[in-house]
Amino acid sequence: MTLFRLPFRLSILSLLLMPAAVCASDLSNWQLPPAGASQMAHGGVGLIQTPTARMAPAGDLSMNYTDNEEYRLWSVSIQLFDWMESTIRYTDVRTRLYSDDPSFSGDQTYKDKGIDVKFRLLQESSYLPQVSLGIRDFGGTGLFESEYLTLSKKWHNLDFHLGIGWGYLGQDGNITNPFCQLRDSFCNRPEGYGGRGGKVDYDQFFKGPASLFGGIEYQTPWQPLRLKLEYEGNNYQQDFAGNLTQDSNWNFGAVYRWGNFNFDLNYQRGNTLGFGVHYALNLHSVSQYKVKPALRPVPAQLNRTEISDRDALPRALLQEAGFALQTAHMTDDEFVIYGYQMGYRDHDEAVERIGRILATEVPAHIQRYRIVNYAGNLAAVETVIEAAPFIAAVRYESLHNRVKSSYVRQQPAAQTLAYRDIPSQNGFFAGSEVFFIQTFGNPEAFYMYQAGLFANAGYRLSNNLMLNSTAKITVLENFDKFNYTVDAEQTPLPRVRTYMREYVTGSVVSMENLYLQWQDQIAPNWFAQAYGGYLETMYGGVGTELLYRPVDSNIAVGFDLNYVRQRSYDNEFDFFDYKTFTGHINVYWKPEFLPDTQLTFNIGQFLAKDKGVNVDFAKRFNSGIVVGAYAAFTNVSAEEYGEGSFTKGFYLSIPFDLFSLRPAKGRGRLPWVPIARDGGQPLNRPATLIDMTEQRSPFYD
Amino acid sequence: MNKPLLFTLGLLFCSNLSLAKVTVDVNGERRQYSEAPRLAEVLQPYALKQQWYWPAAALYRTDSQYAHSLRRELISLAAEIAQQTDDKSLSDALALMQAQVNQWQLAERIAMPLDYDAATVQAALNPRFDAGDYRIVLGRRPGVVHIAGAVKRALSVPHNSASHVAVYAQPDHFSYAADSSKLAVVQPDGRIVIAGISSWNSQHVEAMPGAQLLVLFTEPLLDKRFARLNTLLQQLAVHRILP
Repeated sequence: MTLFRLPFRLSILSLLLMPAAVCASDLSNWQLPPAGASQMAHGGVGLIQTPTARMAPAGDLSMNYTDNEEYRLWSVSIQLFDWMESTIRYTDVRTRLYSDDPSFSGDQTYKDKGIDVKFRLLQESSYLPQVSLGIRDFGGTGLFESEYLTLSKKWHNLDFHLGIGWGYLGQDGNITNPFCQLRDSFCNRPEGYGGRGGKVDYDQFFKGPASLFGGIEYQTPWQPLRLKLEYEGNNYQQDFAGNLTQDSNWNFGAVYRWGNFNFDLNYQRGNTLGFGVHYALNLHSVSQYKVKPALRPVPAQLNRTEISDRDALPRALLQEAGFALQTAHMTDDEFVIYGYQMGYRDHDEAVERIGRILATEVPAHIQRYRIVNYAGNLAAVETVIEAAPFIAAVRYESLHNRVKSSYVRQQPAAQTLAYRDIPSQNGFFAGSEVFFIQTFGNPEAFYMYQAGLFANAGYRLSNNLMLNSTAKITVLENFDKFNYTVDAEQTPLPRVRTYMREYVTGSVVSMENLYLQWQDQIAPNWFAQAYGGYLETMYGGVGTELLYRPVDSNIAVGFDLNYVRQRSYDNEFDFFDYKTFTGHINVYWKPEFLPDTQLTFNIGQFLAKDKGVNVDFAKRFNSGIVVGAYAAFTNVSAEEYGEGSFTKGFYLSIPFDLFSLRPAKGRGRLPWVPIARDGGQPLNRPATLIDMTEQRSPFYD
Repeated sequence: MNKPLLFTLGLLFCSNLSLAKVTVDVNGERRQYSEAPRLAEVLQPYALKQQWYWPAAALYRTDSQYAHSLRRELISLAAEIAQQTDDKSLSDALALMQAQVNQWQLAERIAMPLDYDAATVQAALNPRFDAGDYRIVLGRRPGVVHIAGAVKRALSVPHNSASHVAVYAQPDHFSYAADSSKLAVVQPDGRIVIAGISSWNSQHVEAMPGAQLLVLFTEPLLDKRFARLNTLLQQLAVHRILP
């Protein structure tokens, strides 16, 4: 079950503008585009049923729907790096029911999910082919589980492919498994899957029957059209859909490209017609048209001696630079502004816009501008602009653009913060955001959803202390189709998350959280918070967090410690008996050897009192879209965990800026969690310091 | 960047503005400016005299040694490889390339678009010159493209409109150790595009009129010096003042 949150004001506009966001990438190149790689039926670059060694351009995301008589396949394939492709897929098996019990799943047909990965081992050169190694449908029930090594070599408009496959791709056994010659254990493929599904079954890899497969792809003289001929190594004798008749090992088809779409039509097994629709966009280049004020010109003569219109500066900062000014201070030669960046996620653009306004609005004798960006009550980062070189740069007084070299980012200096006359801040605040919960592959219906509004309100008691609350208001849902609320699987673990259906099917209006929160920067680079109350849908309690995060550092470390009790799903305020300590040492690392990547390690005790580590891998693309995956490895065995064997998930984090005509900050997160049970489950803390301090060493923006 | 450095930069800007002395040679006509001019001011006397092909217009800094130091590095690397190889054909090919590069007229090219009309309406395209000596090369639309690098002889061949760069590749002219699978296309505006021209990597890339097509050296798997050699060759070609 996955949750997506969106600020209310952006939600409707976002949907309307989505096509503009994805189409903007193709306008810069007037040369004929290369035909490019096309997707196979299962998703991922390939022919029809079989993969090739080819890769899509780095950052390509392809959404695919393909159909033949027995199977319908929905997949999303992402080229994370130019050497790595990953695909997730849902399969609908038309010849089988979801279950034998009509009261459980009605007449819904069988659904299965799968994950594929492919690595490029060798790039093509004059004499050598491109070589890739891939694994299909690992980590699930493995309907199509295969391993393969495949070669591709292009000759003018013909692309030749040859591969060897094991598992589903090698079912025909048209050659002897070469590993079987080396060891007997490779001659037979073990049946079933390890643990409770969801694990990578290494012990099956490269075992059992093997087959050669391959084919030819022909780029016709008509640029949008490609033809495919394929020989496959599967005999369909043991297909999940049944024993399928195969009149021929040869499949053929055509792919027609229309803009970002690919349409394909093919004839498989000598007796079955198939088709597909694919839509691709590139996560690096996807962008959005923007309507924003022109950069303020800095005139040749600056002779302002005092600030005459006190409203002009805050108004200009907000309208032209998205900066909400909280307060300002002027010394003999410095001007300091304190506030929040509300609009521009590009820090350099934001600094230039602010600097241009300050250059024209503050007295000309000022030599230095200081911008203190806040996150909540935390002074996150100070940008110091040297006025003379900055003004020269924005007036284009040099052949070289030197705007960026005219300022530095640093930990807010004690003196800068001391200037600030902080009035006691208290008062009410409120806001709202749209939420959307969706879940795929349920017995009641394949797609289930719940949508509504999170209404936030709070009271700030002082600069560091505030009371927060959120009400969840459900507006639209089909969760009333649920025919059970607690699954029947019994495991030794406490049910720390598997009452999920109970919680989301409560009343239309419910209390999401209500808690008291204290936050402060306790030393340079050190941040702390403590909180207590109803912390999330399922837990209440108390907790604290400490984080060390220097400005523009590749690493941040911290820990959190919480004592929580499980909330009752029967009403808003009661608790169940289950209570526990949970907490982690948190390490956030952006390794230099993996560009635009963040690795997160949370090491400690999870909600079910299991101990271990959650590893999160996030890759950022040039557009700001982040694709991530995580897995929790704890001392709970696969059998104790239950279906899925361990907690894992994937997510897509999308900047709102890509949907908005005006510059916008913030982002929405689209998670996909194949199966979530009780092991390796963290507390969903209502606020985390790593998010609060994002501006100090930005990864997301 | 620390504060003293920023302060120094500030001083530099001030001194540039007050003591700027700029000399610009436009197609052989030399002018001196006591106050640093902006681009439009420099171009204004020449802009409307002819139908200039602005995409190939280039600005060079003639009092900078950067391009010459690049050439020295390239020649020194080529000489080192030639000295350490027993392959006479390879050392001959490197010598041919060195001879070409030694003939090149060089100056540090300032990477920015030169377009008089754009400079008059867009402040960002009308920067002020820093103090120093410059050369601006304006020309009509070139009718040729220039082929150089790992070739037996540098050539200028007629430009073909709407044609893939592979049409200019003449394998007979490639020298020993030339990589016949791709060309580095240095467009006249300074952009470098690698274009596959072989049966396995051919992609449609067109050369602009006046582009340089560089034939690169084959890069052995274990000898990274050839990759460096090719990079230097491409970087240097950007700073070449074309005939």
